Amino acid sequence: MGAATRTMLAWITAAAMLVSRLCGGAVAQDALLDAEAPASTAPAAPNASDLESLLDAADQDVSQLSRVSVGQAPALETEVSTVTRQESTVGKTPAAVFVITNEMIQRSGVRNIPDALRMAPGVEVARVDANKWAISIRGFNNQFANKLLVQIDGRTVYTPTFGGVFWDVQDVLLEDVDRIEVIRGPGATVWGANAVNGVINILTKSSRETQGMFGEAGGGTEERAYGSLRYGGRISRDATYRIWGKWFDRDQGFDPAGAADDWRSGRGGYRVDWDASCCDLVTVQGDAYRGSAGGRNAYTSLAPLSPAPPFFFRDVDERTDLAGFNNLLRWTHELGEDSDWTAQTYYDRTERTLNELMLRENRDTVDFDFQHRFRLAEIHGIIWGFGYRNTRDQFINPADLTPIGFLPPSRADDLFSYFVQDEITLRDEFLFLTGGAKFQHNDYTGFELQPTVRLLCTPTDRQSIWAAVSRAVRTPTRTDDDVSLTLSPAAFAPFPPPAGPLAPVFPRILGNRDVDSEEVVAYEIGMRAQMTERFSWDLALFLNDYRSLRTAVPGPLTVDPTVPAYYANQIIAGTGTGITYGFEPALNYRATDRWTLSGAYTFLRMDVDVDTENSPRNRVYVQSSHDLGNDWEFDLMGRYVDNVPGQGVPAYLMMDARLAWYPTDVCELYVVGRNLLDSAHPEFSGNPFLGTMATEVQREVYGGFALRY
Amino acid sequence: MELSIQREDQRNRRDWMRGVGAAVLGTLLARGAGAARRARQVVVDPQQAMNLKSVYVYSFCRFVAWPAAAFDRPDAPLVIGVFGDDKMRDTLAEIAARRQAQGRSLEIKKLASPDDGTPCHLVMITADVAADKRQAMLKRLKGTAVLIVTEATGAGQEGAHVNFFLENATVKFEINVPAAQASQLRIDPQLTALKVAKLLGADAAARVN
Repeated sequence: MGAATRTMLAWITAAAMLVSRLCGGAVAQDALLDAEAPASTAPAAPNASDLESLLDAADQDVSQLSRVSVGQAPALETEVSTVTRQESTVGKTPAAVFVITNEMIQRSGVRNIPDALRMAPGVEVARVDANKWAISIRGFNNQFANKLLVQIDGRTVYTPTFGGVFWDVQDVLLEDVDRIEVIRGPGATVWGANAVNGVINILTKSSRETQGMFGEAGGGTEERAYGSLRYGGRISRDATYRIWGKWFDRDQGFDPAGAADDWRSGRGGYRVDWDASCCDLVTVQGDAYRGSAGGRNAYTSLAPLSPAPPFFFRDVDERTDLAGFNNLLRWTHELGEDSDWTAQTYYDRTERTLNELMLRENRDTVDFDFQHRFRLAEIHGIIWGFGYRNTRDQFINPADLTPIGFLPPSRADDLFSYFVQDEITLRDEFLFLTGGAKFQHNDYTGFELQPTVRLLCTPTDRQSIWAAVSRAVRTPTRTDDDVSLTLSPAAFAPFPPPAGPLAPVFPRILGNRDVDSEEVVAYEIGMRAQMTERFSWDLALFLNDYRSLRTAVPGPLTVDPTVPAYYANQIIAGTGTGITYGFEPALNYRATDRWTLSGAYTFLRMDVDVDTENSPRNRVYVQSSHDLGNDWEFDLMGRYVDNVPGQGVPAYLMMDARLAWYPTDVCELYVVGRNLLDSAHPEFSGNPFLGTMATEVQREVYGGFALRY
Repeated sequence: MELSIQREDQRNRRDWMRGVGAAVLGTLLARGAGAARRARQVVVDPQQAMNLKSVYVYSFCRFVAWPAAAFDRPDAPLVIGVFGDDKMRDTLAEIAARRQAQGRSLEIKKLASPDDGTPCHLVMITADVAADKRQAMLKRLKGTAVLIVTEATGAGQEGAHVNFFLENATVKFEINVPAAQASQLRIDPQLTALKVAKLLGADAAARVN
């Protein structure tokens, strides 16, 4: 053993002894505090909601007051703002809403947004490969799922290219996330098209709440390495700021033939919050990123690549270069109690380059949004607003033989929208009727109307029942309208007929400018209650009636004599219909002051003629959060997902665990194990459009430390 | 020659590792100046917290001895002045309607400003009052036989006799022992001995009797 090693060991031993002394001290102190409490024969602590019982306790023995807890009914009081575009609570929201808090994110040890979304009932999260996910709510899941509206701090992040989300470029510093609001159903018709099946809104904390320094670093078997840094400070008495940066490098998933989907990305951002005056709040924020994501694709080639089969497609280790940035400005002006207006504008640029396919997409988006809320005649709470969005894209593919193209290769679209919503108090503190509608004019289908009617009954402040009927649309995207996608040949036919040599017949999907928006009418009902101080539950039931779902109808057979090749054209149309229904219960039980159990179950049935059962029928999620002593945290999470017949993915049962230690006020050490029950399991299959090959999710362990000053 | 270079390398590596070890140890052991360890998020019910604080104020009325000159007559009411939140004042008024303290009835008065000279035995300054107004009131009442109750961080050090604070959904309070002594107020040991009472002052360990 060398001298250096001996010194190292001496340091580690000394550190361990010192740290355990400090821990031991803290634990002992806590035990003493607990020991002061009266023995088990003492009566239960009085209830702080009842003034008379508190007074009686004080008269009897004033020390009884020191045992009273003033903790709240957390379930119904959790803040929610997405459903009504204003601050409200879960208990007063007539929609199926679930809030993933910052604490839930920290306790579960997740390192990216899709994994954090697994904790919400009703959200299907299936990992396609190490940097691609299929995420949807209430069905229709696939890598390009398009019925979900996702926002980060008010900035819409779904892409008009296909109406879904590129999850490999959505990232925030999870430490500074205030909450993720997940709304199932078209619960936010105030937000506009694409909120067909749900809305996910990721909200970060104000820089006022993230002062000081935060740093973390770690690594593991799949998370090869990661690090983040944030500093929050004060510009003046009324203005605060934070700047942050994060970086990670993730290993590829598992495939018997080898995988190439590793992923790395670096991102930095800032946020400034300024209390400009007594009634004005201005926020400016932005971030920029650069990354690289891999994947294995089977690309169709329009010219034969080899004399031996497979002639027309090649297995490629694709590398996608990701880059982009955005800036957002938001100004809220308070006019009085319950009355204010907010103006928001942002600019977003994304650049995606698929190197092997030689296809590049640039997109610029500018958005402006305004809302005003006020009270009218005491019983009307009105909120109205308007917005404008311009999105311009550019598809560059210098190699003429790529199988995917958009015609025209560059297009700018305008979207105008207005909305109004009125919450009428039919009976004070008891019955509320909300009616509203969003009117939109877009460049694809013109004018669209999305109305909603909701009823909320709050018999007590610990219970609420709600019902809603809404109509929502999904406006067409670039893919619906302008795409030309060639798939690998299904057959061969003689060219020229009837006796020439065999030429391939390529299926080709063509966009259709006349296609209508997809439409849903959703009927929902739900109830939630905080039964006791320790137990709360939430239940939502729904039935969705779909029309004009995307299909492809066979078109004319065309020939290209120069190749030579036949094209079996499929034109995109909107002729699908169907019904989906299900229910989603969730519960939360604080078994002791140190141990919380929570669980969610999702049941979904789809009777739709276009979707081939791409969603599991049953899903269960349970989590146990345990505080061991003063300095240790242990969380255990279990997930069961039913099989997905349309994807050929079997059911799986997974378990994650996190153990964290806080040796001092500022330091946290943790180790996380994910997918512990199986060395690898598939969650989804690759998509046939770009030939993406899926990889399996592997068992992984990673650990790290975090410092908070 | 080679051997000495090797030894020098070893020494450099050792020094470097010592440096790193010290840095790691320093970081692990450092305590942020008042920095919050990521506290377990417990949400507090504001109504319940206000009820409990009001009942504590009632208990102070029972267990604090004012100097004899503070009351005109043996049956003069005990006056509680509230500066700030009306909801707190309403809760205290509820208690005043139902209870008495030390054989005296309780009277709740609203104080409009830090200079409001309404004679009180106990003054409650609620959390929503701005720091400068609170300090002005503390300064005016300093040394007088008025028990000052606050619910703001650091107000105990500023001179308030009792300052409420919340810890993990439990209502606790600081008692400024020297300030109580200077105001000739005697606080019964039943209060100072409470688990939730934190004593401030030069000899915080000594009980006031």
